Amino acid sequence: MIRNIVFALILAGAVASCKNDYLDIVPDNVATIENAFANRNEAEKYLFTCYSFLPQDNDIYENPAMLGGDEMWTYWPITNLSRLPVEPQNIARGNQGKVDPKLNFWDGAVSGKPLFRGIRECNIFLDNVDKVIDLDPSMKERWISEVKFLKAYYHFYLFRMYGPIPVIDVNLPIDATTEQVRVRRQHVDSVVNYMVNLLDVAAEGLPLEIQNRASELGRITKPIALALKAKVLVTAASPLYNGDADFSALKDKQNNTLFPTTASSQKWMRAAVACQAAIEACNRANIRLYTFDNILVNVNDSIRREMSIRNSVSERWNSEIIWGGTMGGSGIQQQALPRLDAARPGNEQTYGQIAPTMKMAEIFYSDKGVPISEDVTWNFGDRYALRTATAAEKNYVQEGYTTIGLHFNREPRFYANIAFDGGLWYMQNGTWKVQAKSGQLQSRKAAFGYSITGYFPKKLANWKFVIQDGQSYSLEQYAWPVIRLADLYLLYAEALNESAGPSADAYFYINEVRKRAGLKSVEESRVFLFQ
Amino acid sequence: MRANPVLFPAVYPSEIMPRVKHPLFGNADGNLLINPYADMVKGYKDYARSNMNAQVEAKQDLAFLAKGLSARILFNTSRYSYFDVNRAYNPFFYAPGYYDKQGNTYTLKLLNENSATEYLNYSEGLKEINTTAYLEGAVNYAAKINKLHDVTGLLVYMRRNQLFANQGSLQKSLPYRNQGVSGRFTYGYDDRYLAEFNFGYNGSERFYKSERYGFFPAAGVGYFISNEDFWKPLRKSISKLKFKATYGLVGNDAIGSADDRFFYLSEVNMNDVGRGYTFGENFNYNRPGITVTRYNNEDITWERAKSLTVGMELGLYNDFTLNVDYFSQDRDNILMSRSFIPSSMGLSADVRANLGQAVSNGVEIQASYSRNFSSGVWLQANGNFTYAKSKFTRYEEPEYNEAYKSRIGRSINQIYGFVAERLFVDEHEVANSPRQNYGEYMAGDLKYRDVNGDGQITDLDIVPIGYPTVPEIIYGFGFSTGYKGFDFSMFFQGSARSSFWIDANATSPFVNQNALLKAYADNHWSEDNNDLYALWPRLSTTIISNNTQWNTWFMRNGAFLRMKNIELGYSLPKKLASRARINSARLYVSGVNMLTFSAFKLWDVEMGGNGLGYPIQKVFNAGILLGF
Repeated sequence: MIRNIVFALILAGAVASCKNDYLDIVPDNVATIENAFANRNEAEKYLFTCYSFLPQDNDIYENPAMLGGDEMWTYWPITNLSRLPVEPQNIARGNQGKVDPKLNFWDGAVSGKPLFRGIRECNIFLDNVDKVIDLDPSMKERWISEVKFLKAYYHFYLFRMYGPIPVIDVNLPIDATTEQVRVRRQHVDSVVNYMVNLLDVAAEGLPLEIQNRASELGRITKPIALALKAKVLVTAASPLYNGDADFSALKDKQNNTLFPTTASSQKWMRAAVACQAAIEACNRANIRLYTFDNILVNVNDSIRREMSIRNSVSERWNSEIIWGGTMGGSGIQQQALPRLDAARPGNEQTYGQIAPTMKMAEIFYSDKGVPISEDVTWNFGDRYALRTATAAEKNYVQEGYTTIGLHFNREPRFYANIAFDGGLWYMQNGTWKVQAKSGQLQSRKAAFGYSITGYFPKKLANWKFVIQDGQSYSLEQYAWPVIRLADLYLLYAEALNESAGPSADAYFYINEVRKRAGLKSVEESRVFLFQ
Repeated sequence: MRANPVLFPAVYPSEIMPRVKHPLFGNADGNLLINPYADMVKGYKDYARSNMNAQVEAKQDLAFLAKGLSARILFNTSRYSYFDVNRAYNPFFYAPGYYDKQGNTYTLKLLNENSATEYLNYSEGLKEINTTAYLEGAVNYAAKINKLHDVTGLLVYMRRNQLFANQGSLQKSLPYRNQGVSGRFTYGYDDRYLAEFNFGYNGSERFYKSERYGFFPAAGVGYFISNEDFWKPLRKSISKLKFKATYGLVGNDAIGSADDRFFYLSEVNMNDVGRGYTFGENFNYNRPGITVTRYNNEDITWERAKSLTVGMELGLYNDFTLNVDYFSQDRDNILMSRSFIPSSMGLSADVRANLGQAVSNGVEIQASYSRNFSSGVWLQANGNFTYAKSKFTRYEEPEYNEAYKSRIGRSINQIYGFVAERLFVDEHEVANSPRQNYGEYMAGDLKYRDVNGDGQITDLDIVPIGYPTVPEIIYGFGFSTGYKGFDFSMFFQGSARSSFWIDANATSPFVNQNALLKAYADNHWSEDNNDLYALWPRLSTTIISNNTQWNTWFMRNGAFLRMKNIELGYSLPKKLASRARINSARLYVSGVNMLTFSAFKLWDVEMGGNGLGYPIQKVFNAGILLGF
């Protein structure tokens, strides 16, 4: 009997001691998501988290528009010594496929950012921002508007890539059931309306201009939201989303149509109205087409005009930028710039290996402002024949240098945007000569770091880049023009033209852009076209 | 195998640069590669390791309470520490600069001017410290009542606390703790009937309060039939016969990754630089972001295994024994990531749950024979054989249209890959075959079978291939025999029903300065040798990802039989030995790993897929053993 009691006591004691807090070792106040919204300082970090999913357009590794098409090309194969991304070139070379798709922004894989995750973070921010106690109401409204903009932008990026997408307006709980998580793709029109509504709400609460330029330049403003709305609506009005025959039959598994079956010109009108509103906001925010008016630099008019064109892209915070991207940006300058400095051929920090294609070299207009294949004055048939530059041509091609006819008598934009064999490259520290024939300075010298076409994207390098001794260099980072005013002008002109045919307004905005590019108006240039 | 022997010499003669004091190590111009000689002589590493233990144990006989009752308590603490430090110079690497043909002289150019040093550099290595405290209390009871009833009881309480330094995160720095009570009670009647009950009531700090403790009981019975009275007539031939069976539960809290300390807590990185952003006119207002790296799940709990063992022990004529066991284990609550959650949920971490279930079962047989013959010859032989299979019975996976994609019903160690038909003949065939989506490919690369017939080679054409990677059959046998002073023994071991894959990434010639294996050099596809079944496809200086997918081309049978040990010895007779004033003397020759029988000939089959790894050795020994 005693024995049993002892056993029972020991057993009870042992089991009881298990119930105490010996295993409860986690202290209070371990960081949880609640802490992110405890005060303004932490919440600002969450705001920046929402921004961090923005696809970085100046990054050749993740922007499919850089090396994923036929605008720029690289040598092949790309190895791990190349300092080049393989994925976009694989797309360009026809190797995109349904197995591990490259630049997969849907899942956030293979160099794509996880945009649905970005949308979820935005929703978490919007759900919780009211908990922040020390956030002043006007700032709160601005933050909310910024995040709503980002949410719309992430939807837009997905929409451009995948067409009909599920709209994620509110987050599903983490323990959602299998049925709940199966969200459906929506008709492209309702996706567009969703984005437009969100952008309208966001634009209300956004400032016209950034006051605190030192620490906030690059944040979303009203002109950015309105310009994006214009872009969304032009995209929605464009044929691919507006009654395209290949897509109008597309249905989901519930047999719902996903694309409009007929084209509607109404969409172009709606886009034109949005473009006009955006242009007005830009005017109020003092955003103007850029011209190079640096009086400290003594250069001739042709270089001055070239700089107006080039620098609308790569001059830091130039007057034309509506939305400037603030992340990264030194890599693309190194990729664009070749070994310019003949005195420092051993400096390998400028790679010059993202190469505009022949197609790009030919697509620029003639000096008469019309396509070279349609210009009555331009010798299209002999464009590959060799020709030597005369003294009269020395502002564009090195005097006495022999190169192909394609490089002569072109519009200023050609000379501003593309560097070619025989061309000149004006930089702050001098005018450099580009010579890319075999054995010459900018030709292939090693296994890596050369242009496969012999062309270089001049406009992507800021004019203050200096190649220094050894492996040193200095560069000026510039805000990447995600949207700039010339873009908006062209969208407006297109929308007007598509909705109501050529009008004075349509001509005005396209001619503004032509004027800055040193071209005569559309009406004046027409005479040079083959009839 | 990772250094190219013809690209550069280990070291250049010092006469070339007589005033330089450091060795002139060779290397490749462009990208520095491994120079094994420089690595060998450039410096050294010091380390210190210590392990200290202190233990107190007290035992108390509690016979005054009840006969056979005793108790003990044990406390143990240990501390382990390790650190190391490297002291090495950065070698100066040179490549030939200018060559003068007339004078047959050359100059050297320095390749790493910015990093090479003549003095020693110092770099700190790993620093590991951990400490453990362990407390155990036990009560033990053993008694034999009326000479028939064997009763034992044991009750153990334990708690363990482990601390690790330098863990790098708050959650990992918290103590690792376990606590539990376990017990074992047995009852035997007259050495014939045996019964046993075990239990464990264990707690782990990794789970949420309500899931923290698991109760894991087990019970067993045994029947010693040869101890029955009626067996007496048989006992001469069947000297021992026993049947036994146990059934019970086992828990496992070492699930997921060790970094996932607390499944019930979310883990949030409040300063994630990777999710930060930068603004400002001069791009210098930067703030980090916030990321959830684990979602909390309060329901995650112990992985559980139900296991059953049925066995038999048989003895014949006192010199042959045979043990046969059948076992089966049904593991459930296996931690898995939920696979139904689409990307559109936008989660930043996987959601996991106790979802999976797997069954394994098998047979284990052991036999031994031992006999001294009247002629003076003695013989001992033994053998063992295990056959075990496993399969998933529940697995978190999509509902595939292709039944072969499902892991359910397949071995846990099953490999999935493509069926490689042969090499492509030419570009024409490449263009007219189902498109393969695994990187660029051309003539001489692997052609895969379009299993589901959709006109493309995709992940849906991946099928289970080969045997599991872990052998299903493992066996060994051997014997020792002797006569007078001579003795001879041999031991074999082997395995069967397993597959392994030649690691095409690790053995790709030329990639990362890999050597070209002779087998590949002799037998590869080339334009001159259009062998569509060559061992190695088209050669390349880069990895051809089309060919390095899991596939049947590089699949090999892992079965082998190996003579692990063989030994022949001769012991001097005592008389002779004592004359030389020694107690014993034995001469022997032995060999380890002398013979291997396997279908795979390129390298030792037990090295697995990477033939460029460290090889398995053969060892010969010859010796004299003297005892004084």
